[in-house]
Amino acid sequence: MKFRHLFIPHTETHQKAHLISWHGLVIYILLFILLQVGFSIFGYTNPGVLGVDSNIDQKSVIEFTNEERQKMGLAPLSENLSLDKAAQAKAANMFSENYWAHFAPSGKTPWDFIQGSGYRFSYAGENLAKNFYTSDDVVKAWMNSPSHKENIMNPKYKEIGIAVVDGVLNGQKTTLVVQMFGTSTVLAQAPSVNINGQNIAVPENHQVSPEVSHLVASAQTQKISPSVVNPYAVYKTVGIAVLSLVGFLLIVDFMVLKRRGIYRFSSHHFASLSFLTAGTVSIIGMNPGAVL
Amino acid sequence: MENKQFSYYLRKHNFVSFSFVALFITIWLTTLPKSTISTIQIIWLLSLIFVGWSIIHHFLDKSLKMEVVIEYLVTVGLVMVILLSFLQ
Repeated sequence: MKFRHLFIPHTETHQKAHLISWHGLVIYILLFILLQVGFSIFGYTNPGVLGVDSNIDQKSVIEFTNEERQKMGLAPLSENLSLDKAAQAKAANMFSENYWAHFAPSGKTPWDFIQGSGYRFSYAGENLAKNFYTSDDVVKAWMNSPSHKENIMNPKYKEIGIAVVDGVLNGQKTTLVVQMFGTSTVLAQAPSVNINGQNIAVPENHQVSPEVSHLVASAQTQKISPSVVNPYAVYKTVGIAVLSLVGFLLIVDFMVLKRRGIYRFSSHHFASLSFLTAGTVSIIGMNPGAVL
Repeated sequence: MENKQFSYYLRKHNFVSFSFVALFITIWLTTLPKSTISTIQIIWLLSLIFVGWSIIHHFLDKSLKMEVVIEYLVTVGLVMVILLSFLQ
């Protein structure tokens, strides 16, 4: 095998360059999987070194949320300090129990935190987000999800609480955003909480455990050092580089064959290039943010 | 006869048509709310069309060798592995 045949079709057989043959593509896949596994192992052995550094602040999340409500003619929500505390306790609990869900593995519910903060409600709701870069991105992602949008646009809610908390989740530095909504007016009916678009009735005799009350009382924002490497930025850079290399070599393959006057019946350059383009565009648009 | 005509049509036009259809579907689907259909689902759909079409082509018109179908599968695999790394 000659070095140039890594990049251009074989001089005599006109076979594809090795770097774009299916064997070459399999090697890229294996190397990429190896990179992911490596990051995963490194994250667990060195917690907090990998992760996403965000620039999200509590006030702007409230502002963007109210802007969206006002666009629809709804009254803005006012910040409630008890709901802030409940949101902070929820985020701290997600880090301490290492979970990403509305309900904790230990059985704690969203209303445990709300009621634990002393907030009495008739309606409440919870939105979660993690690993977004800006406050605007967080609110946009919630607005793009019908069940989260339903919470933001719910006319029954009057108050809001937000927590933006940094910590280590699954070995990676993560910024969690917890958004809690509530209406403190006491109505005759049993209180309910909206989770993922579903209204869940809170049992009338529900008692908040002393552990939750302690969590809420002691919840406070802590600062942790920024992460050293953002694995998602690495995945994006490496991914785009690999697909660009494959695309570039496909163009070279097409041009070399054209110059040699060879028609390779099995090659469909345009189809492969358009698929790679669609894949690359999707990768450029990907971000590590997730909502729940 | 009908099969031959179909395979001739596929050979002459399939991948050029596919390319435009794929790009059109991508652009259209990315305008939908993310929770309705995610980027990963878009690529899955495109991959299904891409690989499905090439397999149909292979069986109707032997000009598309199985090795090329494997090449497409591996290309799709590469894009999917990169995209899946963003899922948490």
